[in-house]
Amino acid sequence: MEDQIAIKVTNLSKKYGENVVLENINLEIKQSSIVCIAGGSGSGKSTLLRQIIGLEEPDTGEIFIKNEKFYPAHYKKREIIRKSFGVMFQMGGLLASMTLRENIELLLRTYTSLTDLQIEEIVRIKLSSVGLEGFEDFIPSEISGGMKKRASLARAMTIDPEILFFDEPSSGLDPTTAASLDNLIKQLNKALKTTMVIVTHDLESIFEIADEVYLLDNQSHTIIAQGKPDILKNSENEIVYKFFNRKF
Amino acid sequence: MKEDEKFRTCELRLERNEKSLYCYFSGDFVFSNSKIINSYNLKKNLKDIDNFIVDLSELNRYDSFIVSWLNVISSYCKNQNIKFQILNMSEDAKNFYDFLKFQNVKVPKLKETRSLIINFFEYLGNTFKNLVSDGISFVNFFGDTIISLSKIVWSPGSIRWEDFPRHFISIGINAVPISVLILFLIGLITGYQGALLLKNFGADIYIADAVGIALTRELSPLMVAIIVAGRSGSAFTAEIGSMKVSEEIDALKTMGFNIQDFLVMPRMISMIISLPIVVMFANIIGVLGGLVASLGTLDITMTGYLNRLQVSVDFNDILSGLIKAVIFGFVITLIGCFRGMQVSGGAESVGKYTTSSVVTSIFHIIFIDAVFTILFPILGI
Repeated sequence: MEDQIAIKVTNLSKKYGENVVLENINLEIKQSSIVCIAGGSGSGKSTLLRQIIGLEEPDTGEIFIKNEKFYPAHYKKREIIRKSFGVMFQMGGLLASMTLRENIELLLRTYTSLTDLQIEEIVRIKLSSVGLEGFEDFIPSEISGGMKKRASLARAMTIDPEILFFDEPSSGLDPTTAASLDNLIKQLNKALKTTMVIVTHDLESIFEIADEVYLLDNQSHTIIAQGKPDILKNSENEIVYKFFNRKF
Repeated sequence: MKEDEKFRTCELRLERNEKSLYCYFSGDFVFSNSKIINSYNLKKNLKDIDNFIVDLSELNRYDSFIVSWLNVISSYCKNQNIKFQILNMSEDAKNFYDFLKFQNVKVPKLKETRSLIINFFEYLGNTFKNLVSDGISFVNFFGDTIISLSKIVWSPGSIRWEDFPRHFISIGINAVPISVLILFLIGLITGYQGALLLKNFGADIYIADAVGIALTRELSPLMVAIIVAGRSGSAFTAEIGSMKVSEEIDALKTMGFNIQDFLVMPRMISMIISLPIVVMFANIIGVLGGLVASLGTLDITMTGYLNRLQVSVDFNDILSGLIKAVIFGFVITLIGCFRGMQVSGGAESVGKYTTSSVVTSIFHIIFIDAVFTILFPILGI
């Protein structure tokens, strides 16, 4: 089970107008693993994430989720597959007019037949698992940036998705909060066996949590390295070495 | 197997043994099976029971739903003095359950629940406090605007004239088509309604007086101001508000720019120049609307209408409308920019203050129009 492929991307390319952002991307992400997609600013990390989760359509290439074709595929099939995703967006993406409770309840009331008591219990469990119990009735503007990110994570994992995507989870967070978020990601992966795909350029996070890293290059717009972070740190490729050792 | 049971991936079997109730669960205890699992009315079966035992030996897949289900049932059993027990839970499922159960720490609620009366008085107090602080901020902003406006007189280079053409086109030229269309219809309505009344008295020719004076003194400046408040006042709030959210205003301040000179004045100057021009266009088209209505309903000619218009509408009528337009322009810009500067937090706040900007502007426009209606005759305008 551990070696089954959760996400497979083949020959994916994307450009905006004449501006090539992604070129011939190939990757395979194993089920229940924590994989980081790293790269410098403008290397197309977030763009790649948007293609994989289906927010944008690539120009060429194919995407498979658990051996099912996700792209190209009929939009209804894509919608069904997308329900197995949870996404934590860079800015949180919490619905500003709703409380944290309502943000989480929204999914439960739409996709499940839980009773009110069960829903209340899930909201409590999810918020407490990210250290936010007691903040159920706060709206996003009443909590800090770090809390928003954690609330966004609670919402992303509301109905226990099989794959969790994170877009720059530690950006804008203080080191302690970033470390606690890393720890939470590891714990969730261990307990729920969720596949985690994390877009980041935070080296500390990468070395702390990643089972495997894909490095995107902002010159060639493609993946130039793949492997365990400790191995990539000693890479003979100059660009890879510089990235993982913070050299310029 | 029935067709509808083909995809059934879970089952609950209840067995009663004297004062104990056994619940044997088999299959997938997941969110997608919540409808099936919740269809078993457990509470009904938990009457006159001392022990409730859940056997999970045949549990296949599971997710957070099992934790919420077990927690809700165990709380219920605790309240009913029923001993609750879980049997044969796999090691993996136990780890999963413990992970989520481990989080079961009650943190004191930060928001206190209060009685409705206290909430009401708190709301009243906060509203009053906000009104006072809003008023003080507005007076400060008004003062700053007046200082910046007077500065232009002796130092015209103090504002960004580069922005003037863009704002002039957006506020003035782009507002002309919709303004003249609406004022044509207003002129038509005024003319038609007036014609019905004047016909009864044989005073057909006075329709030109009614339409001309009503439009130039009141309807044109008022309607154009309301249209521009909706178009440009809201745009000012949204633009400045978005700049505030993205810290552009802070950046300008730290670079030593005066926000009034940099952002408010180009909009203010463009507005108070362009609004009277739009009103002039609106006057002309509105009067034509009145003419169309008159020709269709009354026994007058175009020449007769225009001749009477020359006699009835004097310079003061047009001037009073243009003075109003300048004041309305000042008020729309002042409120639009002030509300933009009040934005804080995120995008939701931009929407809130944009709405508030339009409502406040329209209220002030109508209020000031009422004051002018009384004041102008006293001043002989």
